[in-house]
Amino acid sequence: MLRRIIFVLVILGLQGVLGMLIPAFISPPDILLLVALFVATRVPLFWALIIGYSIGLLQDILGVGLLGFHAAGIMAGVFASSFVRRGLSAETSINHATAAFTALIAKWLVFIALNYWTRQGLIGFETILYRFIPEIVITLMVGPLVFAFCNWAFGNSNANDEQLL
Amino acid sequence: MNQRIGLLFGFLLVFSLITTRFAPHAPLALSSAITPLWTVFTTVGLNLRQFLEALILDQDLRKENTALKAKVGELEVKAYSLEQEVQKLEDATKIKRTISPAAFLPAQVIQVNFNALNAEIRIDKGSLNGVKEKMAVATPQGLVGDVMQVDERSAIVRTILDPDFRVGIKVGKLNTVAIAKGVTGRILRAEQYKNPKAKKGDTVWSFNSAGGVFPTIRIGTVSSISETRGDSIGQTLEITPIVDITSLEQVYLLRLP
Repeated sequence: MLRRIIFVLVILGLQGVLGMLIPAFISPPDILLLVALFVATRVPLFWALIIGYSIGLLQDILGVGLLGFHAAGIMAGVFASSFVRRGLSAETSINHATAAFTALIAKWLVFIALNYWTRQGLIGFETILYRFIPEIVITLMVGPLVFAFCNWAFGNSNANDEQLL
Repeated sequence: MNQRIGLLFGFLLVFSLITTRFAPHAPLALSSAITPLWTVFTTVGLNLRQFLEALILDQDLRKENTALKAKVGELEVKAYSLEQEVQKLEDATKIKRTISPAAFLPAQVIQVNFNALNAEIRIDKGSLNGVKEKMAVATPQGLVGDVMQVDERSAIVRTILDPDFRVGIKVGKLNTVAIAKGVTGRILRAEQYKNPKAKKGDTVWSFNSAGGVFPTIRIGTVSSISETRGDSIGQTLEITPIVDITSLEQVYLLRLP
């Protein structure tokens, strides 16, 4: 239990610290998405979607952004990655990276859709170039560390394809 | 199962569509409950960033400081070089005024040859610069010697301390003339000087004789007077050069009249 409390604090802390530490022109890694993806490997997809949405909602509240914006993005990421994970046989780093990459693409597709829906003009070509691409690269770079940290907090898991769709 | 998940996904997506369009910001009560913790993290991040930026700035300042120190070093060298140039120009003005109003040529001493037999220097000007044999060589302080040998780009100057050097001299304002020659590379000696009025400490001037063509230039001072030995009549004067021949850097060639 203590490990999980530490885990939550460290993850929130990392997301907050990295957001301020990394220069503004570089997008920080989406650690909360990685956590949601990790959760998706441990719980049924139904719950993974709810948890993913909740994590995103938390991110919206913390970031004082559009309520439900990140929530829908992370949920979509979890949902899309579940299809990838279903097609992959083992829990390897490559498979995790592939799932994370898919989730990031799905998240940004939802972002673009919501951007169109809200008519707020939040996402443009420059956002894709300077936020989306760096975020993918940096998130994939820190992915193994976050997954290792998740394993430390929740214990190593075995793939449980029966829990997926 | 699939339908249930699909429904959930659709429901949450629609919920997001509604909230993003119609309730874009989280209720203040909700956000204010969480933000204090978040503020701690963002503040830590901000402080860390400022710390790192300060470190980088410090590094930059150190680099700048090192570069500026190097620049100061360069400027000091330049300033020294300019001081030398100014000194040379002052010397040139002085030598023009005091020794030879005629045109002259400055030259750098590039080699010194002082041994038991010779006291010569080599200068960096030669026949291409108009240097000719027997040209007088001087500094603003006094006579250095005469040009002994010339090639295209350099010349050898026989200094007044060379045993082969000969120069006509006058002591002070006396009209008596004698021939002085270099002795042992440290003094000049004039024998058979026939004027008892000469005394120790008098200034010795060059006089146009002895084969060289010298204007009146200060040579040194009388350091010793003694009676000439043997059959010759007169006194022997020992003359201490006014110019320190051993530490010359720049000399001036006086044009032959």
